[in-house]
Amino acid sequence: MRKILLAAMVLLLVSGAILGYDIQTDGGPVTIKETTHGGTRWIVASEVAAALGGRTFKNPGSGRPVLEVSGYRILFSTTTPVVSVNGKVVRLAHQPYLDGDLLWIPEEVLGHIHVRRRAPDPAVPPAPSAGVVLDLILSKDGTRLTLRGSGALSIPWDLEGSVLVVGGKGHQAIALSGASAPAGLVERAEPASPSVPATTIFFARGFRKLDTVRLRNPDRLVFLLKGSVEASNTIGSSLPPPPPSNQAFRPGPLVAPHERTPELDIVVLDPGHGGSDTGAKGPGGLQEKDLVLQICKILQETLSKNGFKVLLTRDSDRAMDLAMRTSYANSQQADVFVSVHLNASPSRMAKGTETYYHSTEATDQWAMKIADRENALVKRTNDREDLALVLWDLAQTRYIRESAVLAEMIQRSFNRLHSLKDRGVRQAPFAVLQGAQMPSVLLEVGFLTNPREAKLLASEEFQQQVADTFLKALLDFKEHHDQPETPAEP
Amino acid sequence: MTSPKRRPNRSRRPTPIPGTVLLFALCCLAAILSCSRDDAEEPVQQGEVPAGQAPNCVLLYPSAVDSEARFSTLPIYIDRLPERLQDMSAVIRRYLEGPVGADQFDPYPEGVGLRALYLLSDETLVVDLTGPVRSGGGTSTEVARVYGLVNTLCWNYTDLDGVRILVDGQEVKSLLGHLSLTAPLPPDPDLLSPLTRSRWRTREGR
Repeated sequence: MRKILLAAMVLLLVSGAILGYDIQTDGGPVTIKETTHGGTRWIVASEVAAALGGRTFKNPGSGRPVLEVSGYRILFSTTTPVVSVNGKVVRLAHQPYLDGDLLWIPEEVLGHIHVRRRAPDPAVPPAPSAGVVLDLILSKDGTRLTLRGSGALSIPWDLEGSVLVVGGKGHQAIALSGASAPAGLVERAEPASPSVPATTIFFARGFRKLDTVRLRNPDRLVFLLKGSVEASNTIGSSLPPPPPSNQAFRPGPLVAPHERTPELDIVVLDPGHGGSDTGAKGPGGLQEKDLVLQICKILQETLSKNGFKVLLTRDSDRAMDLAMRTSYANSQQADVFVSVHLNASPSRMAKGTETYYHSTEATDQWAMKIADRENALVKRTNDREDLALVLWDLAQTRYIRESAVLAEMIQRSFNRLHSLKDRGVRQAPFAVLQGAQMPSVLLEVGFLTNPREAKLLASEEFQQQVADTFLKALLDFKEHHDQPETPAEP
Repeated sequence: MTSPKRRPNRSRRPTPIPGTVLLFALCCLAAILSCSRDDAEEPVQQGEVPAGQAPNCVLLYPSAVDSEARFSTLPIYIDRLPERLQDMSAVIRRYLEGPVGADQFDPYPEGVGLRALYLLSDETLVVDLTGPVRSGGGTSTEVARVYGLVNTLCWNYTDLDGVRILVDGQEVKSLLGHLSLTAPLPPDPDLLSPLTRSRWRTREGR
């Protein structure tokens, strides 16, 4: 009996416990199913619709799931973390998924349709985290608001037109810091007070919309503000001038979240697997998750010495959701994302380095057949929402093209690395590369199931050789990346 | 000044070739043959075909003698069933039993079985597997496991657009943490050996 209970508890921990999620409706609070995976809350789209008097159905054109509620129409995709909200494409931090007939959507979707999570009952004693002061930091250029501290990821927020309210009754007090308003897209801010436990941000005229990014360690909810600031507020050198003592901070040029600086600078390295997901196993208890972390740390040191800013998706042995790894690279506006792995195969013959880049579809005639059918579908339905998602997919092709170049350069560099056989560049639909908004590859350094390669991969000397080899490839790619594009000749 | 070449003494009786030299020559020959096997004519696998019958099904397994583990064909004979889904089910079950020879390897661990099978209206086949299908690691293992089944099914049923894999009735993001399984996968002929790929392309106008 004890064993059964223990197993049930472990199962709950592993699979994510099904909990209750209270949402505020006109008729009072309604509890719907909630589950958590990788620190993210997930709710069922059909239950949100039922609670708020809306509906869910499949789009007749594409078969994509649709949620219609409170005047909003959200078209979901279960293959990309992108949704269309009333015709506008919005990128989520997490990709919705189907579990049988249930469409599980991340909690952040509610923010886009202005549905509030029910505030705790005032009569109920405050949660242990209440009373903690959260920092709401406004970036110097006024385009980013970061809510930092314990509870930052669960605090309610609401956007009404150009007014953002963060916090609420029964929630934590919020201290505003960073640049003083007005700055960039923020016109003014009213900080929380004992009588009003919510901070109200009033956006400037040029504000258009916001996206949110959730980050962990420490918990941060980042509001990325989109829009255009008046010319007088944006003209300036790349470094903003120091603010006059009696004036608010004068912002520098705005950089949209997905625009990149012309030079390749930021590299996000992703040591594959982690925590209970050990990845491949080799002789003598070698584990992929440990060795790739070692390799990535050496890579970080080597690349940093050569002027790159290098960030790791994990720097310790911990589990991490695949989508979160790409989300992290996107939120850091990385120029390159490399997921580092070690390979395994039942074949004794398997050896060598492989570099993969993402594919949304195979490139043969078979894929063209499907593409033709999809194109016909779009023409037939003339569905602008679907078209918006298709266009988003098309934008990805630019990154895929660059990813192919990066993969070729890495593979070419590793071909020269002594004792590793060339296994060539390959393309496949990789979960960890899905939605990356930059050139991204998955590098399989060698085979842990090959005893000779396993021995090499475990040695610090060889790991340094791997780092040097990778550096060579990255410098080649930087040269390619940084050169200005020349217009095609007529 | 050069020393004159010594003329071979043809009158001497030829000495027999020592056994070690013969063994060495045989080893060299074997090494040359095995090294060139990737690019030379591929061995054609022979499956179970009863006397008097012709192969009526092709299974694609990763090659155990190719360092890139590309897929090669295993022609077999099975009792074909008139009902399409039952027939597909029979092919999958046979595939999960593994290859017959040592030149190909079974990408699936022992104990993996077919739990259910659905055919959607858009010619997407949903294969629901059960057992230790998520055990092991490595991209190559995962590619072999996923595309072994996808390519085999699309080879035998040309109308299929793609294959979706579920595990124990549930959608999984990935089997081993690399390939995305959140959408149906079309076949990938680039994973086939050169000979198999040419057969793939020439058959039925592909």
